[in-house]
Order: sequence, then structure tokens, then C-alpha cells
Amino acid sequence: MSAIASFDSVSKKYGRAPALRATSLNLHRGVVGLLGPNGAGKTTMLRLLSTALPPSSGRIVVCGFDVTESHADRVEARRRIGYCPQEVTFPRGMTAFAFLDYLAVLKEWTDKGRRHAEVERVLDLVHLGDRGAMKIAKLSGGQRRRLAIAQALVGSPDLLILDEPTTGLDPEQRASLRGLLSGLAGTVLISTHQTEDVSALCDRVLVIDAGAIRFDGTVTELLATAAGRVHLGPAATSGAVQTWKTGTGLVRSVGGQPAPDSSVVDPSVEDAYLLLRSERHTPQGVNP
Amino acid sequence: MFVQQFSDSELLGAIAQGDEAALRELVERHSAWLLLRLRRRTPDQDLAAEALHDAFVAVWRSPRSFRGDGDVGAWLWGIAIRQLVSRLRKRAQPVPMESRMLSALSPTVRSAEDELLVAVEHGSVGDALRSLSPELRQVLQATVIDGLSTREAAHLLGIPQGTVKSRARIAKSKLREQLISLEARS
Amino acid sequence: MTWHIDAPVWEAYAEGRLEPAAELSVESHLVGCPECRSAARSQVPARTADAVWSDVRLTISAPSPSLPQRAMQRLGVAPDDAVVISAADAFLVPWAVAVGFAVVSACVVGLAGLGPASRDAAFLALAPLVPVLAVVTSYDALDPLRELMAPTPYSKLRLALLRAAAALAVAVPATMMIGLVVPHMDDLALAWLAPALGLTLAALVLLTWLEAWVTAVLVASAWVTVVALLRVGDRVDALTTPLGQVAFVVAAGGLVLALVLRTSTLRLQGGEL
Repeated sequence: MSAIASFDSVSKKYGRAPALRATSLNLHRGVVGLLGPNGAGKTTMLRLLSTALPPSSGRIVVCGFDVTESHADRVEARRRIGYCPQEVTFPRGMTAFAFLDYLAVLKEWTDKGRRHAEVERVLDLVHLGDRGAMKIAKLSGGQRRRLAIAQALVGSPDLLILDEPTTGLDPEQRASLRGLLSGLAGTVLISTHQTEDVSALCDRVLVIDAGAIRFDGTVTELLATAAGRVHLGPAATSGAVQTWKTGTGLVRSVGGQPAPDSSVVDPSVEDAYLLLRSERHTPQGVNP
Repeated sequence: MFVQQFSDSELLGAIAQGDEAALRELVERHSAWLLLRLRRRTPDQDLAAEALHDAFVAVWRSPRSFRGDGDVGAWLWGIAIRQLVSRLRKRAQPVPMESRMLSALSPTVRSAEDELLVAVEHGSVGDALRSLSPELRQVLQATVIDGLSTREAAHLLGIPQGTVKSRARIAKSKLREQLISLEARS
Repeated sequence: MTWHIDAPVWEAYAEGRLEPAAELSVESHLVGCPECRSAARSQVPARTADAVWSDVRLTISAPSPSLPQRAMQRLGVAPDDAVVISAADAFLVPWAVAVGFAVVSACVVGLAGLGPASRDAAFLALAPLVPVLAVVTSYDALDPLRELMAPTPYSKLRLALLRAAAALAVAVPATMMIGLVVPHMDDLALAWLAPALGLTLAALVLLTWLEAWVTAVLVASAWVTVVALLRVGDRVDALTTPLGQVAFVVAAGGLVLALVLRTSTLRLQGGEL
């Protein structure tokens, strides 16, 4: 299966500070989750892939077009990309419809009738179908977030890049967004710091920290890295990465040496993620 | 939101606030009968559908032109029939109905209708109407039932304004004669 | 009302088979009877209301073209170009800047009590900057959306030029007004055009590297310095001689070339046009 998008030794520096170290990876069809702490390089990676940001070195290929090569190739790639940045500063005086209409023009929907139908379609997808005529200033935070996602969906792009799409959404809206994303045909790359999103949604997980990918594999593979290392007992485990008292009064410990009277429990994505983070100098399961 | 529980005039209030769900409910409630009735005014089914579309768009743009007296149904029909007239006038291009046109629907239309309704239900007008020729009946329907002006009726029926006026005059006097003679007989 | 329309009457009505009095009666009754209006739904295809609604919704939520959009379309601007230019009313800021700066310039030139030579120099220093500032602000006006606009296939050069054209549509007449309002400016009334052309293009080229405000400061201070130096050397008329004017036009040609080269060969840049 050929990759929808690929990084070939891509790196990015802001001034002299490296934001992304030389990274190579291929993205195929399905939902890929990018997990990592703030400042790990998630946004940098997504902006590079979206063509909003040029890399300092390396090659980025999207749908067979080398975006680092020529302007013409970049434009071809952009016709196949939908990108939703982490934060969108909306022009507040515009209506939701006018905003999407404008971005659809920028995405080369020149025919007015077809463009308007497409705008209605993406409004419906994010459940804003009855808010089209409303001024953006009057929309709630969650509605604005969904509007930002809607603009990325215009034209059903082959590669959809969403930076923290679930931030600001309530649980119900998050669930409906998951439903929407899992139903899309192309490749979806989302960054998140919510581990539930990853376990609920992603076929593949990338864990990124300090500008480098620490893990690349399926959710099952990620969970396997933490198997046997999460314990529940009356007391905290010594040397644990994280411990907390659960509702049952028992203490859940991630990592460390288990106390004799504690039992092993199934790890969550969050446990695995915390353990990975604690071992930043020994990357595991990284496929080049 | 449970728009289904609202009355028509409450829906109009919500529409004035920019609530699309309220307009959707209004469309749900009134599309069918308005469409059926529009089809009785034009043989062109597409034109009837277009007029209906224009009517709801006009409602969305000026929902406040409903004055709160009378029935929303009557008000809606007044808008729909005028949209049809306006479509007929410029078949290529819809003319957005202005709000003053919407509010020009006078309550006298309703009272004329009411009177007639009472009369129809009493049966005597039915006989009187039957005695009129189709052309005269059409004019009467446009001017009295639909409440159109002479000019609007002329566009709807595709006849000169002078003809509308004269036919309306003849129809009314014939109707009066018939009613009087019917009264006298009974 | 004590009666309701029954099924056979409905069918006859829908098919136009009712006799006139009955038809009249049905219609009068419908206007005031919610039950029968509701029952009418069984006389039309099930999805009628949905179909009506989807068309109505498309019409009402589509933005009806604003006044400036309609004006632009009447002047022959393509509808989608008009959408781009008028997005978020972004053209208003450059227009305000153009008119504001033109008024300030007119005041400086006309009311500062300068001698004829200094007055001409002040006019030639300020007037060409009106379009420059308008174009630079037009580029800057949608800056918050740049992150969304950058990864779209739409040509950013085209976007910048459309915006620039919209800004100039007001900036150029505004600048003309200075020459007309201020006395004794008739001989210079058009002399600012060639420098303005060169400076505006220089600003567009610089915008491919620099932030909008840096560009504005750089172009404005460089131009004012040049005119001031010429004034000190008493050579301001060099700008208005045919040779001087032709030099600006030639420079403008070179800058167009530079702009095209710069935008077509540009590797990804933050401020990419």
C-alpha cells in the first residue's frame, strides 16, 4: 500500500532550537493519533505536513507530490489537504456560512451553487446545519471549534490534519466528532493530549516527545508496553511514575517495584503513555 | 428545542430571533397545503414549488411583518400567492418581496373571506357561484379569496388590468342578482 | 368549525375536480384549520417538506451579496473574486487608512505654511505613500486567518493582488484629491503616480520576506529620506522630469519581474505570497 503522506528525514528548527529532529515516517489510510506533552513538537509536525510551515531539511511528500520541491507540486498537494489549526482567530463579523464560503473559494470551489451545497454539507457534518446564518461572534466555544473543523472538511480531502480537535468540546460533541472521523475515507492525523481519544479512535499511535517520535504502533502495541507494570494495592509502589488513590480506596501505581500484596491490572493508554514519557532515553518500538 | 409545541405565531417570534429550527417547523407544517393551493392557481408545478420556496425565504427575511392579528395560515397564503404573481411577472428572475408588501395584507381580506365562508357554508353562494362563467369565477377568486390587487390579479391570470376590473364588476353584480333571486325563491 | 376535509374531497381538490363552491369552501376552511392543514401532508409526496426546506435553507444561509460585493460585481469583478476581496470586510481598513492618510497629507502640504519648493517636496514625499500604506494594510487585514489560508491551493499572489487592487481603487482617487484640493498642485497632480507604482510594487516584493508593518516603515522611511535628500540638494524636480518618471516605470517593470520570480520559485516561507 503506498503512503498518502511521508516524511523523509524532515527536521525543523526555530532559530537554533530544534522543534522536530530528523524524522521519517509514512502515513496510510486510517486515523493516526499524535500524542505528546505540550511543546513536544506536535503542532510543528502538523504544520509541516499541512504545508503551512517549511521544513529546515528533508522531504515531505503528500499524495505523490513533493511539497518541498516546487510551488506547482505544493499547490497540487494542497488540493488534497484539509487542515484545522489548534487555534483559529475568526473574523467575528462574518456568519458561519460566509466564513466557510470564503475558505471554499480559496479551495477553488468557483461554482457558486456547488460551493454553497458543499458548505451546507460540511455544516451538517459538524452539526451546525442550523447555525449557518449566525454571526461567528454569537457561536459558543464548542460551536466555533466545530466550525474550524468544518472548514478542514471542505472538499473531502485525502489527508485531514486536525490539531487538538477535541479541545473545548463536551463529551457528547467529542463522541460525535469521533463518529464523524471514523467514518471518513482518507487519512486522518489528529494531535491530542487526551488519551481517551486515542484509544477510542486511532488505528495507529505516534508518541512524540522533545521533537522526536518515541513510539509508533497500534493501540494494542502501545498497551503491551505497559503490560504487567500497573498495579493496584493498599499502598503505593516504590519508584512509581504516577500513583493515585482510586474510588475503591486502593492505590493504583504505574511502573516501579510492586508491593507484595498488590495485583497487576490492565494498563490504559494513559499508563503506557506515562511510562513511555518516563523512559525518554530508551525509545521503544520505533519503526523507521 | 421542542419547536413542535409552539404555536405558529410563537414560531414567527423565534424566526425573528434567527432560529432556523423554527422556520424548519413552519415549513413542515405549511408546505403541503400551500403547495396544493398554489397548484390550483397555476398549471406549472415547478412554478408553484418555486413560489413556495420564495414565500418561506420572504418569511425568514421579514418575520416581523406578521402583525399578530389574524391567522398565520392566511398571512402565509398572502405571501405565497404574491410570490407566485411575482414569479409570473418575471419568469426568469424572482423578485424579493419587500416587507411593506407583506404587511399590506389588510385584515379586510380576512373579513371578506369570513363572510364568504359563512355564506358558502349556508349553501346559497354555492349555487350563485355555479352560475358564473369560469372566467368571472377566476377573477373573483383572485381578488376576493386571494386578496390580490387588480394589478396582481392581472399578472396571475395573464389578462389586462382593465379586464380584471370589468370582470370583477360583472361577477359581483351577477353574484348579487343571483343571491337576491335565490333569497326571493326561498 | 365543526367539519373537516375528508379523503375523497382532498383527492378531488388536489386534482382540481371540485366544483367551484366546494373548492372555495375547502380553501377558506384550510386557512383557519390546523388539523386539515396537517392532513394536507398526506396529499403530497412524503419528502415534500424536506425538499422545500433544503432549498430554503440553502437560500437563507447563503450570504446575500453585501453592498460592496454587488458594486464590485457590477463593475465586472467575478463573484468568487468579490467573495475573496470582501471577506470579513477586510477592504474597509485599507480604505480608511488611504482616506485618512490622504487627508493628513493634504493638511501637511496645504496648511503647514511651507514655501513652494518645500511644499512640492512634501507632496511628492507623502502622496505616493497613500497607495503603499493602503496595499500593505490590505495584505495585513486578514492576518489572523493566514494560518488557514496558507495551506489552501488558492494563489496567494492573486489574493494579494486582488486585495491590492481593491485598496488602490480608493487610494488612487483619494491621492488625486490632494492634488485637486491643495492650491498650486496642478503641475504635480499626476507626477506622483509613477513613484507610487514603483513603491507599491517594492512593498509587495518586500512583503514576501517581511512583516507588513516592517515593510510599511521601511518603504516609507526610505522614500521620505530620498525626497528629503533631493530637497536639500535642491533637486526635487528630478522626480518629475520625463527621465525621472520613465525611471520609475522601468523600476516598476523590474519589480513585477522580481515579484513573479519570487512567488513562483519561492520555497515554503512563513510570509509566502
